[in-house]
Amino acid sequence: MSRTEAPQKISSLQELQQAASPGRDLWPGIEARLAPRRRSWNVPASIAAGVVLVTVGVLIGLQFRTGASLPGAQESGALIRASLIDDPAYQHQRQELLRTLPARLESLPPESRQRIRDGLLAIQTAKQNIEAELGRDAGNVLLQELFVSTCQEEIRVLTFVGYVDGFNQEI
Amino acid sequence: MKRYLALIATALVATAAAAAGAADITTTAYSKQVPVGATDRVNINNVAGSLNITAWDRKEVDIQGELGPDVDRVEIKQGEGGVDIRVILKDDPWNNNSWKNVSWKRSEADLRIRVPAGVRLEASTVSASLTASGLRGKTRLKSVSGDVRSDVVAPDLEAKSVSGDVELTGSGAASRLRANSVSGDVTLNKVAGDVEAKSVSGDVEIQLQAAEDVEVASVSGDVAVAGGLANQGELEAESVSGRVRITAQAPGGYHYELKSFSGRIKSCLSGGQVEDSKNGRGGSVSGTLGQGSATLRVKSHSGNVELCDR
Repeated sequence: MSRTEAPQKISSLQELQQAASPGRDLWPGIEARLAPRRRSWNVPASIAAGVVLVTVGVLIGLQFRTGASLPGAQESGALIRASLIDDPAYQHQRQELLRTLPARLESLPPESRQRIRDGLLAIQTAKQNIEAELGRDAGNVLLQELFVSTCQEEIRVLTFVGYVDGFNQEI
Repeated sequence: MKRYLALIATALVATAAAAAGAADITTTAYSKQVPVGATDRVNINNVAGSLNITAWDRKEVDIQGELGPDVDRVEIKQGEGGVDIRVILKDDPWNNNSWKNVSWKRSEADLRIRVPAGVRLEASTVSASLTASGLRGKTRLKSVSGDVRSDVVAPDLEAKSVSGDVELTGSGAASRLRANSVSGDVTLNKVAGDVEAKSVSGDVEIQLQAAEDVEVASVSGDVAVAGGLANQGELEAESVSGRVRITAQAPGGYHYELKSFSGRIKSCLSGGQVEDSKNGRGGSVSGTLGQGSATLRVKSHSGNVELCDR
């Protein structure tokens, strides 16, 4: 028997479903749905990675200019995090890197693919943990800094996959 | 007891079989010399096996090695301003988009390459281990799953691996160093200058010698930094869930800021200046040793933070 439940009030990011770990390995399904796009990604992916890094860099600069001791730091912190999460350019480029990731991973030996997936999963878990804490303490500058640098690290790894795939580019 | 004897016998048989299999693989000796300018560009790509690059004082690239049966050839392209050296497999997995048919053992090329010390070098491998020494020009070393090892002579050196370890050993001379891995460990010994070391899940361990600008980070691996900062040096260390341990000295002392959201902050300073974080978990501690000329910042989410000066 099923019943319709009333919508729950969300009081922190931790309660959102995005903080939940996937119950199964989603990669095979993602890979299966995406057609192989070898080689053609390299230049766009590099440009995309550059744009994303600049975006994240600007946000970090903005963050350091605000500071914890300034009035309204909590609002600023929440705004900065929201800026990063919601920033269309950042999200678009990140999604583009994620979308092309399976095809790029395909060009690597299986063992290395798994290592990269494990690394990205570790980053995802770290981001979710920090985000959950930020849901309770949005103005915490330390958490904001860690969140932004973990996002940077994610981009570094996503870009890195392209870097090693560039192995086979004509010199 | 019989069970153990059976296991030992099985292991011996398997080892013997593996040895016999390896012995079946015949390799072909390879030797080639190519003229190149003293500061030219040299690019080297190998798939499996090993790649050992050393510097010498001749304007020539000397390639010696043994090629496995699945290696088609060593392709050498000489162009304006440099030379490109690339191992080509018979069944090229890059072109076939498949690694399933690759026999790593049969695809191995063990290359020993000597290059002029001042060349701009870029070396890449897939599973081959990569070692370099004596290089004085701009150097880029990268591997997918192989370990990367090099001494630090070049003023600008980058070493990267996805799942292999990265190990760089300096002599205390200032350089610009970038060492990255995704799941491998990153180890830097006796390094100075502008240093960046990052890993996602691997551990990062650094021995500094009067370093000026140090950035070290890991997501889940542990971070350990020991040694000296320059008088006005800066060190930033960060980990999300790994432990961070800093043992640092600086001629004019340093100002320190230690922050952890939920990890414990602990000190072993000789003067006992740092108080452990309140309530055992999380907090922020700052202070100054000596004149505070250098700066040290440590951040963690759930990893413990420890600061020592000896």
